[in-house]
Amino acid sequence: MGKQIKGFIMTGIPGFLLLSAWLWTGKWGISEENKKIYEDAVRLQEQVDSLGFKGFCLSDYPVAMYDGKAEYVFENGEMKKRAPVLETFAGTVYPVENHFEVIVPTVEQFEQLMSLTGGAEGIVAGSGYGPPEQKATIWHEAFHGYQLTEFAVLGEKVTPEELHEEFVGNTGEKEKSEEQWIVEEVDEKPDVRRKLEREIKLLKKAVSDSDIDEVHRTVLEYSQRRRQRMEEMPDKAREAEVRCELTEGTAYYVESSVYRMASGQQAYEERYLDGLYEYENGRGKYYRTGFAKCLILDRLDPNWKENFDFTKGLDEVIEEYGSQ
Amino acid sequence: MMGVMKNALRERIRRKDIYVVMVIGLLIVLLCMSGTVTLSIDGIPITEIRRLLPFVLNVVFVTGGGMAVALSLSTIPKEYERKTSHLVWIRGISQWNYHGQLALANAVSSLAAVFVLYAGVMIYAGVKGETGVLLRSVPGFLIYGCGTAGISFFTSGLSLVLPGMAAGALATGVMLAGVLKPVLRTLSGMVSGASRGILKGILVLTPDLYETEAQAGEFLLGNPVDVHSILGGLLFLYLGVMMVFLFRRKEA
Repeated sequence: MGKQIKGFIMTGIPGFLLLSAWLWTGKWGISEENKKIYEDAVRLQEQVDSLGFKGFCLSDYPVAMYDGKAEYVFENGEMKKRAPVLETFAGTVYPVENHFEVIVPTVEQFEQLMSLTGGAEGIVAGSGYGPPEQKATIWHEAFHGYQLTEFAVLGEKVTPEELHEEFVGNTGEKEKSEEQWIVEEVDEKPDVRRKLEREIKLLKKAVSDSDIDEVHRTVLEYSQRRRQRMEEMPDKAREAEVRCELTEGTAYYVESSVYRMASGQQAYEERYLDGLYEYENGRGKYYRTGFAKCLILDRLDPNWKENFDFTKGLDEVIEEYGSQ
Repeated sequence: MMGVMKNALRERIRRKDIYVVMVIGLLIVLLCMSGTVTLSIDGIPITEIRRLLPFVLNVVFVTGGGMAVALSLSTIPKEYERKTSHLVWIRGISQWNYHGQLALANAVSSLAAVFVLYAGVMIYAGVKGETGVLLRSVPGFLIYGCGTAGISFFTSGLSLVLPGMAAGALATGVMLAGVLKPVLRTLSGMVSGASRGILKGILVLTPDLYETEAQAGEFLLGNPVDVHSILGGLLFLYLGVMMVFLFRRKEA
């Protein structure tokens, strides 16, 4: 009996020590690479300020990184581990208590996700994913936090509590999503799709034309064509398009600018400009058309962001500056 | 003292099928590194040794895991089938000692088989001028081998209490889930309902062998390692050893 107890202790102690050490080191959290990505992203604040979006500050929004087991929240110079608020891999801004938080998968999970799915909405498939892309994604999502916190997007102000209520109360049997409206009313209607493709070509011309008068002329032609197409579409589909371009297009503009700051001009052009005019089914294309409109606005008036308040669609803003 | 283990090892050495698997594994490894096979991640061709190494180590680990299951699955049941166990009992050797020696022989032969493949990778790294990798290769193998040894002991433990097919299927399932952990984790975040529940369950119940093995790759490349993942591998090894010592066979 004494021998058995001795044996039990002799074998049990290493196991106990091993288990304790394993549990203890588990609290150390995510990889150093993720911490560095966040720190580097915050360090870009001064350069992002030069973009001109007043009061947009990354550190105003807690950033949570989800590794499939737990979330690691970066806030006020500290990192805390918590149970996941959103148990899914998504780059998003999410209402938590009385504020919005950026939630992104860890860079390792994002890489894995990309290799499994081949891409994601708004991200060009097969273009790779790593620390520079993750920094840009964090800024993209933080910009959504900025939109929701500081502005009434298209005249509609949503509080974190209201948005949370909306998510919790969503039973999945409600009205059509933005994605469905866009697919049904744009992608699956050959005539509308053809017209949009023609508009995208005009956007390309306006972005790349060196003659500013020609840019104005192209913008005018674009606006007429766009207005005409919009009249043929149901209100809901029209609103979905305008909202997506406004919110995602501007966020994509910020994301691409951060990517340029982190990776240089050539990498920026390859990732964001080379595929800018590709048609993609669903909402994805409006990330790029909205982004193209921001680039056109930069050409029409580099100070367009000074009074920009998200209450109007990007086309209305372009028309304002284009007619000046 | 270790006569049982020595005999079991001699028997392993006589098995020709293992050499065939080892040669095939070695050929796959060399083929991956030769440049005749085009590897690409996200459309980018991977030819540089430092980028190739983690991938090849992963291939070696999966091959080695399969060999560990194959080598460890039938050793103990066969000893009982041949009634060799009775010759051991009459010499006063306890059941846990007997099982322990047989399982240790399984683990040593599994590690030897993996070492042959691992050495192939290290020689290639040396030829490519990666002296740093070469210098770190011995301690690197200690990290790398704990996953393989864990699979071997775990399989030996299962073979004590489960029929051959069930033990083999379970050991292979745990090994595959362990090496595919990142994929399963990602999938669990993409699906919902019962599928998510099942995936989460598998994730909780299986060791993260991929991370343990990946730390060996990080160590070899001179990068920082995640101690938690190495401890996870050691914990799995401990669990396998404990299974061998605690599980009993009725025939004894």
